[in-house]
Amino acid sequence: MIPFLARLKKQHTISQLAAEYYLGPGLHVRGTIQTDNDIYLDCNFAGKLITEGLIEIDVNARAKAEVSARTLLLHGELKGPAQVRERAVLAGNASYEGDLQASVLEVQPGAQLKGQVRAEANA
Amino acid sequence: MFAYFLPRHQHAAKDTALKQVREAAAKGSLSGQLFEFSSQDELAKFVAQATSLQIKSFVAVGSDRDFHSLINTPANVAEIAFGYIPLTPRSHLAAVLELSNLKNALAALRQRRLTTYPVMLLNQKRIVGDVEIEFAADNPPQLELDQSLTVSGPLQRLRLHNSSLEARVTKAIELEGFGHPTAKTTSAPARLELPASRQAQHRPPTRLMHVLADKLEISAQQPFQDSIVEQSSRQLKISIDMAGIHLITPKHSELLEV
Repeated sequence: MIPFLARLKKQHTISQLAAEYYLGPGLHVRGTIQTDNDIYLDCNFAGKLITEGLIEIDVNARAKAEVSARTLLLHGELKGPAQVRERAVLAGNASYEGDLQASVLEVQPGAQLKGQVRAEANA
Repeated sequence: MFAYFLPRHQHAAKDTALKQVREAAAKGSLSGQLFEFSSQDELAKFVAQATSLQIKSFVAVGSDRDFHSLINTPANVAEIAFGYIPLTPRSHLAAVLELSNLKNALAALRQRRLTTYPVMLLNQKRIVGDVEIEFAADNPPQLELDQSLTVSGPLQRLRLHNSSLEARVTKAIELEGFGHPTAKTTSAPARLELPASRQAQHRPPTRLMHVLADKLEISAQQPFQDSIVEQSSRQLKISIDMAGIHLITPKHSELLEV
């Protein structure tokens, strides 16, 4: 592996490197992201997130957003309506508040969930 | 016929290479007129002179900066083919245009294969290849992407890449941001007996963002400079001009060939 890639991989996860939109710690972001590819947030975000791919919200991230995605991986905090076409995962540290619609919902022990949840095949 | 534009400051260090350029310009298929300039005003004067002589192929001899000075000088850019003879080691532009050495650059001029290359516009200045912008720690930028997304935070370096020719990327500008994330800086274990702020100065900045945009505005409280044309400004408007410029380069693309 070339040294530059090796160094980058030490500092970042594969998701962070592969995501078309990666917004890291310390950033304040406001507005709309609309894309066909993955979005990885590790920042403060307010607005809309729309993608045909994956949205991953890291453990230190805080998002107040309207979300539409194929897959949602929530480790941090998300407030707002979320429509997930396939799978939504609320990890152990996750905090979600809003109306969540997903085909498959996985809530891991320790996750906080407040609002309405609909898990059905055609979300 | 070619017009070669050569800054006088190149003379001392590059005697052998310059001799070859002079020989090439003196006869044969690369013959042309050599204009040696020592200021931007003089370059503009010589460009006007070459244009009046009906010369349509302009060649920058020197550094990436000299090339960009040349492509930002003429008014009738659409009618001109630009070539480049890089004389500086580790030229980013030479890598982009696949001009690995002097022999290769002269061969490209002989073949005269033209490519229309989209350029990045920074406040209307044309740029070929990537651009970097540095910011002081107390002068972080604010970014506005496609008038729909604003980003602020501890960014110290931005790298802008013209991705308009790459199928894998959906927007014309690829932007990476680097800096020291304040939240993690304060919580990181202290390895040196230095205040956290001074430790941050000694660490290389980490990658904080990767986004795509078709248009971008960068603003900051204090002026900042880009790495190519080195214009100083508190606000930069950036976009891609797909009409671009005509380049003489061995780089082959069926999409681009004129």
